[in-house]
Amino acid sequence: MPILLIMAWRNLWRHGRRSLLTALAMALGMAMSMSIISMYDGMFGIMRTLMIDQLLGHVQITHSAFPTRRGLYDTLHHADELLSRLDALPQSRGAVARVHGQALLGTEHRSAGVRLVGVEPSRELAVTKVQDTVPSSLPGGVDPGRFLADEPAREIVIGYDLARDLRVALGDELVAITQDAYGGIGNEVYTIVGLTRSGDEAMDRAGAWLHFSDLQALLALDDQVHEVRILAASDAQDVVGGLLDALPGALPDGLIQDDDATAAISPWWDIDPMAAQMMEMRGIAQFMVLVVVFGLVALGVINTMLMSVLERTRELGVIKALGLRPRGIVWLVLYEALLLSLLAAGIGTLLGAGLIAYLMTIGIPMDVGEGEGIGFGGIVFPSRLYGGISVEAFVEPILGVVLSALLAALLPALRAARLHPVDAIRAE
Amino acid sequence: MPIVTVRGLSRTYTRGEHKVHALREVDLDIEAGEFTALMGPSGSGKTTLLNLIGGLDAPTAGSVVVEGTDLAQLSAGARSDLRRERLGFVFQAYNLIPVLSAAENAEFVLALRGVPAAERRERAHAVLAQVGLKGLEDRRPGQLSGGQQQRVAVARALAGNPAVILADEPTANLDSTTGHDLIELMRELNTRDGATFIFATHDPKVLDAARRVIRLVDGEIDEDNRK
Amino acid sequence: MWLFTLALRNLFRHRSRTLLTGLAIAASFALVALHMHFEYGSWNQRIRGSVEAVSGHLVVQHPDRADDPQVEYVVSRSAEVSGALQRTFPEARVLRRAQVGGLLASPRNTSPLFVSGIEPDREAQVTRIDDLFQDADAARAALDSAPEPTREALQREAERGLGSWLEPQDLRGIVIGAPVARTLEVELGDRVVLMAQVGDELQSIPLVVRGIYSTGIDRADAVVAYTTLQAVQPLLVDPKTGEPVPDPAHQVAVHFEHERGLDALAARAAQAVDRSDLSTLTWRQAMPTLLRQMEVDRSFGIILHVFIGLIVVVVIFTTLLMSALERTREIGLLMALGMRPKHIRAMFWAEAALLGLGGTVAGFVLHLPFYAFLAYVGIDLGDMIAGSSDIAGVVFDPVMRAEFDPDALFYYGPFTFLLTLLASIGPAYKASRLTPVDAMRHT
Repeated sequence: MPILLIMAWRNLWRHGRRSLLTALAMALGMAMSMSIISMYDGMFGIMRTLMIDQLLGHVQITHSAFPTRRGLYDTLHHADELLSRLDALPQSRGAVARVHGQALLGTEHRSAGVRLVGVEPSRELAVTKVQDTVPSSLPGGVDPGRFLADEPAREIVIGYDLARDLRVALGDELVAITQDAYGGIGNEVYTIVGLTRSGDEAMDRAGAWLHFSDLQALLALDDQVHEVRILAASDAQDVVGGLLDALPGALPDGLIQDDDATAAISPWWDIDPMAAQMMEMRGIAQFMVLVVVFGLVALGVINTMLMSVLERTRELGVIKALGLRPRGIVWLVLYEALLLSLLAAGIGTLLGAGLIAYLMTIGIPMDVGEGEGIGFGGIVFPSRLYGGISVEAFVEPILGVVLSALLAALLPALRAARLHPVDAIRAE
Repeated sequence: MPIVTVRGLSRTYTRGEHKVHALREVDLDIEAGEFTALMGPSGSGKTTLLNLIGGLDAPTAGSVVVEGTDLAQLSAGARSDLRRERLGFVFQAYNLIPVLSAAENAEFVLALRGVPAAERRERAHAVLAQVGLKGLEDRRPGQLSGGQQQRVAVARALAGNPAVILADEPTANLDSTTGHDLIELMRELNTRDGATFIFATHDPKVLDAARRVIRLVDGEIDEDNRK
Repeated sequence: MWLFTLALRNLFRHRSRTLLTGLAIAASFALVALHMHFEYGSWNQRIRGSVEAVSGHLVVQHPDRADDPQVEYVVSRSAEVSGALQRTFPEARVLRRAQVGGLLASPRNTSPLFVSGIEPDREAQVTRIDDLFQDADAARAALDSAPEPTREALQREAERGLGSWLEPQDLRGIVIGAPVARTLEVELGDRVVLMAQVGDELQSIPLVVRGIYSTGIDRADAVVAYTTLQAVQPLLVDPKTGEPVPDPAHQVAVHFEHERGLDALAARAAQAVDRSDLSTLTWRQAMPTLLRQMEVDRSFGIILHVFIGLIVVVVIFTTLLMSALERTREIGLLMALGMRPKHIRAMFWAEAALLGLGGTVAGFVLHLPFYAFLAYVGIDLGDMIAGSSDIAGVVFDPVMRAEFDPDALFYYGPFTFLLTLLASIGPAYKASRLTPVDAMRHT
């Protein structure tokens, strides 16, 4: 073991209580940032599931005009063949086809303009798990029902908030009126079988799910769909990127039967830049938290290390006189800070792991009424938020505590290195 | 060739408005194997001269050449290297590193040089035995008496086989018996091993033992006697 | 007083340590205060936006509408109500609104949305949606002569509004968001039909596109369109009888220059309106969810602030304890001279008090320039915040600006000070428990 490291370790224990207290402050900072990252893991986990699995998919294949125009006629043909080809791609976890429409949906007394989404329930269950948007319970003991049956049966699942606005419940019938593909008025009666509370405000307040055959019938679309979305095997940029590269070769002939259009292949961050920005914001927010917490911790470390250096002025002068280069003195102080931070990292990891366990099992109540949590960027979070766990939640605070300690020790270390041996030895 | 050559060496400190001439144009040669005492009243420039020879301080004018190397030509880092490789120091107030044991203190300079652990441990034990501290190798400085601590300091200075050992008032903090023993020890090391010593002192016991006594007055060499 | 003189000298003697500890206190205060100002600013911004577009400072509406925004909860004879309020508050801006959900159809496509029926001139005085058109016109005018670097920004600004805001007497005009225009494939001057259900009948109201706006937030723009109140009034009928209601609206909102004494104003408004079928609410009563959201958000913030406080307490505790141990000799001397343990404690507390006060004041001064930056320049969050369409039609300013939260000064300031005192209790006791002889012997 290098002698400087041995000296640093023993120096640390010359004032054991001071070292332990400083380590405690550092550990508290670590525990705090671990808890915050854990909460971010929980919240952004919800956002990720909602946005990628349920709302956007990783990649969407559409008629080139559909992303901007969302036109009824901007359709894909032969979706079945496309889906079976997509299932075979190694980067894909699965794909689903969807039909989109708009309708005036209502009862005799009330109606609302609503987005209709047509899905194939059996495929969705295997890929997007959109079925999960029907919760197991609703406030006030309202029965949420179930998602659509696998076979088309003129069933409809609507948002919980929409159901409240329309004053309807499970088993009620709703009339949908819309413009069909021939410019005529299409209308049909559906039975409500389920209520969703996905957290996506747009769908919960003004959205409804139908079997895609039912919606195709309403819109007179035959077997065309508007969108095929694929979930990649993982969120990793390179996997999604690989999927994007593989897709053009997987498109069947006759997918687009529109002479002045092509197929558009859009990753989720292009479809909803705002969602991408929100996911990115996490990184910024997390970084800010680490900077603030460890900035404060660093002030404590500077304090301790400065005291430690000042009270050893003479000793450092002797070491310098004996021939240790200034750089060696810097290392001696940095080693001490490093060991201190490792000690703190140990305590902090234990403390933080305890807090994470608490956040994961008990969580934080965030009820703003009606069983809803806070809303942010069009997403309504559950009324109780739970922490998540990730490698990041441990690695980043540990790096934070070590780096901030080293950075904080640099000032005292340089000060020590600049000591003039003659003055230092003379110092009292 | 002298081991240390000092030419026209001056050192001036500025104390507020005053200029203090600690050394004025000192010329001096120290030969290998000499046992030299610098004496003189406080403020006569003994410590300043010692610090300049050790490269701990930079002269206002003049040069110090150690084993053919002009210290003025060296960077601060290179001066550190020279001290580590070629010089040994014994300070007035022991100045051992409190967190290191006697053996670790003795081998400190060797550790800085990167000597392998086993080799330097052996050397540390050998020099501690030479200074009569066999069996006390694992004691920390706090567990040793003043005389024992100063012996460790001498062992530390010797361990690296330096060309010159510079000692600033090594006996000042010791009672007279212990001081006497320490001088005997250094004298023996000088005659037996040929180690070169330069002392700054006004301890008469040291002066008795010295073979060359240089007397400094007001920063100038007043007398230089070889016995 | 001598106590504080002594304390001050002690602090000066260990200048670098005092400075660092003070800096830790100052930095923690400054960070928390900045966080509070920023949160305060963004909530105020959100509230102001909602007050502008959704409720007004005071709102007169059907008693059930706050909890359940049903189309049938109308204010009948709304012009009378509006007139009465305007007479009571001549300085205030009084406006009527109605909002109906429906399907907007062009020959090419349909789009589900909410249509706000408003009084265009009055609405223009309160909300900012009309400004988009003026700004866009100005940008277009400047575009030709603009130097290259600014062209892109002007171009973007020009795309924020095509056409114009509604004229008061324009019973057939509609202003739609850019995403709606894309979906419907319509341009300025094109005809669209608003389809909505009235009773069990499907009503179609033919309208002409006068303006296409873009706040930059497609999600919000896709669901809100504006037309005149008169245009949507035929859709507001009594759901039970299916009979038309005389001069209906959903709300009559009152905007003041400031909101001081709002409860008293609400009482006066209720008196002026004098209708038992209507309730007069302040914005706090009209938007309970928004307030609850704010409370939950703030309480989450407080947890963070306490955590930061805890870290600072440990840092201060360490420093003061070291200071106590380091000064053992000196304390022994003071005790030998006749100072009693409680005097020693008092001396330590005086030091901590000065440190806490100085640190907090320094933190306050330190945070002002950052606050000024956040308040006047702000942080451009792009379109991240605004997607929250719980209040559709609120035009958000994407630049978040801090506003001075008095709580930062009046609650977190004293809190920081108390934390410092709290941290000094232990070290002070430690120092005062030394006996003079022990202390003097210690080197």
